[in-house]
Amino acid sequence: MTGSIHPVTIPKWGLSMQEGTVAVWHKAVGDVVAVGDVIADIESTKIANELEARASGVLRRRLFAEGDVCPVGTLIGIIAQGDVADADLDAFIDAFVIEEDDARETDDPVEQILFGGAASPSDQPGATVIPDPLRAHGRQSEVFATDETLRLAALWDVDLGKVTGTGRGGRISKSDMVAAITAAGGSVGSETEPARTVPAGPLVGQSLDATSVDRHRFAALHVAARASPAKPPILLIHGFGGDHDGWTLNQGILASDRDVYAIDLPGHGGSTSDVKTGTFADLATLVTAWMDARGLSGVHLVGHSMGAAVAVTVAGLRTDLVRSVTAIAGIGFGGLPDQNYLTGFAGATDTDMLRPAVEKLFTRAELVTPDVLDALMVYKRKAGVTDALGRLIDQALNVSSIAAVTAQRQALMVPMFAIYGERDRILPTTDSERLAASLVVAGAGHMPQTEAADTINRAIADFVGRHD
Amino acid sequence: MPQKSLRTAINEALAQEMRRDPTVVMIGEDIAGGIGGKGQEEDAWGGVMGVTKGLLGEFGPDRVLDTPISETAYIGAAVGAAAAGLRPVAELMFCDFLGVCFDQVMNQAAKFRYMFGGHAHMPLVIRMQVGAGFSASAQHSQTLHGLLTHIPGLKVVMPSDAYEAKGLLIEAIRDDDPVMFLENKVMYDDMAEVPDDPYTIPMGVAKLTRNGGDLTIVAIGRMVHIANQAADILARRGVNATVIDVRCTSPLDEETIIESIERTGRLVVVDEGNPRCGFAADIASLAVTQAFKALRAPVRLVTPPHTPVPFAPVLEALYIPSADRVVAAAVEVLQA
Repeated sequence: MTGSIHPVTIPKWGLSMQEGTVAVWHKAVGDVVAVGDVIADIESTKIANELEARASGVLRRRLFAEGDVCPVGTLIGIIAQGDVADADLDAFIDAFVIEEDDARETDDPVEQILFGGAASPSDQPGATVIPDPLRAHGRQSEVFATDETLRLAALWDVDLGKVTGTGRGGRISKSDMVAAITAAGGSVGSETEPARTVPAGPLVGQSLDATSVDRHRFAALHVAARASPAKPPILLIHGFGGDHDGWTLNQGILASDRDVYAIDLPGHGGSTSDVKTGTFADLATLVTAWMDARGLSGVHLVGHSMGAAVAVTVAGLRTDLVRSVTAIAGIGFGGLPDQNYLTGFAGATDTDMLRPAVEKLFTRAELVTPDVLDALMVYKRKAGVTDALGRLIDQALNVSSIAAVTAQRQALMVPMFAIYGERDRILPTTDSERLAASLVVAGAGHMPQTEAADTINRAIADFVGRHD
Repeated sequence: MPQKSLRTAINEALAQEMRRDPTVVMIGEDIAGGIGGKGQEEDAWGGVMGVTKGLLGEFGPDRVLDTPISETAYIGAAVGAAAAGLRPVAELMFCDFLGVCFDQVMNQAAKFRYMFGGHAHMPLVIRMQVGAGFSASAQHSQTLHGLLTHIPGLKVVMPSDAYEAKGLLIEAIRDDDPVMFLENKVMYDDMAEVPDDPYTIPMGVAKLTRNGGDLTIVAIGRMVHIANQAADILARRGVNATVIDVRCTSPLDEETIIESIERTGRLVVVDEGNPRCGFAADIASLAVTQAFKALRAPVRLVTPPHTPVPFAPVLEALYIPSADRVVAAAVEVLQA
């Protein structure tokens, strides 16, 4: 069965990379590798970079020696579990062909997941041919051209000094450049970038509702299923300091065939600030009361971080309400949260204090824009929020409570699935701590549902679909 | 580089051009601060927003002409002066007052070069305030670039910050055609890095303030900031937008807009002008006539409703396009 055999191939780093040199092998045959482990150093004519494993298992084969030069996409190694037969590996190697995908440009791992290897069609071999006389060889002349022309000229290595502009003031447009390329005997591939599924906030069929139970007001965003009959619903439960907006990239996509609710936990978002004593049991009791009030049962719970612990506790209290539990960087699913983050987040009184804490959530700090911080400070300044966050840190997010959630989780008979960010700095986990039924997202931090939304959405849809 | 407000940047552009070229003169209401009024200290105001303060002292009353409240007369005088060889910069306090001097603008200034076979020039700049946000009500809050763009023969510029304003105003003053220069009144205190030396920014060349492959947001003037804010919100959702500051509606940098749409396939236009027959509709028309095959989703326009600008602050805030509305529009075109 080839599903458990994972090829290690020469990656394509950058437009001009045609072949790569296996510079150093960092793993020996027989070594255990995890997703993200550096397997080898690969050199192109421009750069040297580390090749990371995209799958876990054992490095079973190394097909080229250090110093060997191979075209992009070449199979240079095999990762598989130890019990896969040698004959199957041989068959896999014999059947291997270089796929177009392998020859595509890859980028930062997170980008790669988010954008599915966002390479423009012009990157594909043969699509765009720039005749040598027009090539810039990396040196661009000073020209008056449109931004898009400048961008493409840099991408395609075209010397715009050799292109005549026909626009106002002799400005060079893209069509001028394409005409020059064609006139010189070259060709240009499709000019638009490939369509990608852009995960975005739900707008269609959504309603923000408020339900009061037990003198607690709950805000929740409901996105109705786009297909009928609708499958069992999903309830999204955010983490510490979050709210339903954190599921912006997921909720609308997951609602393709089922209703998806995103609740604001007590002390968060638009819900009442009162968290009672602040234990997981208190939060879970309130959530079950809300689910009863909404008539929700047999629900797939998806919890992020602290929300995963709430999900487990809800399932422990009321098995009838819960069909499955998916934990994203979940508390109670391995590891302990960084206390400095929790206290730093709760204690910050302005955006400058808040920034270092929030940046730790993501692998890419640039995702933390001033708007994010402003919105969080608005939330933190709401009456009762500081007290609520403090209680949660004291009563819920401590070692013994987390141990209790972990024990609860192990005792539950509900189907469970865990998703981890490989570079999570808030709740770091090791391989041995992680659940067997899990997905580790390479490059992602504590917010894989945002950092790698496409991947997470597919994984959740697949998991819940198997447990409807 | 020094930080300067929009007010200072415009003042600096005016002063530097007046020093460079003795034919540059200024004319307008209160620009010298109520000169001639009884008991009024000279150069007390520098215009209703203090933009021209200090120019009277340096250049004197022969080159900084304070006028009575009569746009009909002094805009006409500015048009005549331009036809006769001066380079007047007239200040029309609010663009809303175009109504009383529109023949001078529409039938005279805009038509001279054409009707005299290219032999006449009209090196005129009319600065005017636009924009809602001060609760200045329906007659002092309009943004009428659409109205001006509709008239062939006028160049129409609406800078998005202090840096842009200085470079574009110097370019406008040196230009031989009538340029309508629209300054958003809520931005006069907004700071940007502005060089001390004179520089020009060509009209008809748009600027990218964000450069992403997922969608194109076209904006002008103050709406460029709204578009940038929206793009930053989208960026944290993993969506990379290009934001185009078109700078001028006439001449319009069509290439930059079309090429960006060809790259992204998705377009949102943000504009503070009235929606009917307006700038946003014009850009949408450009997209569907010139780049239809590249479009992957219907074009979305984020504009005020087709109503007068409301006086009530709450309604006025709802009237002006917001970053949230731009994000919502972007999400719609991304999901289509």
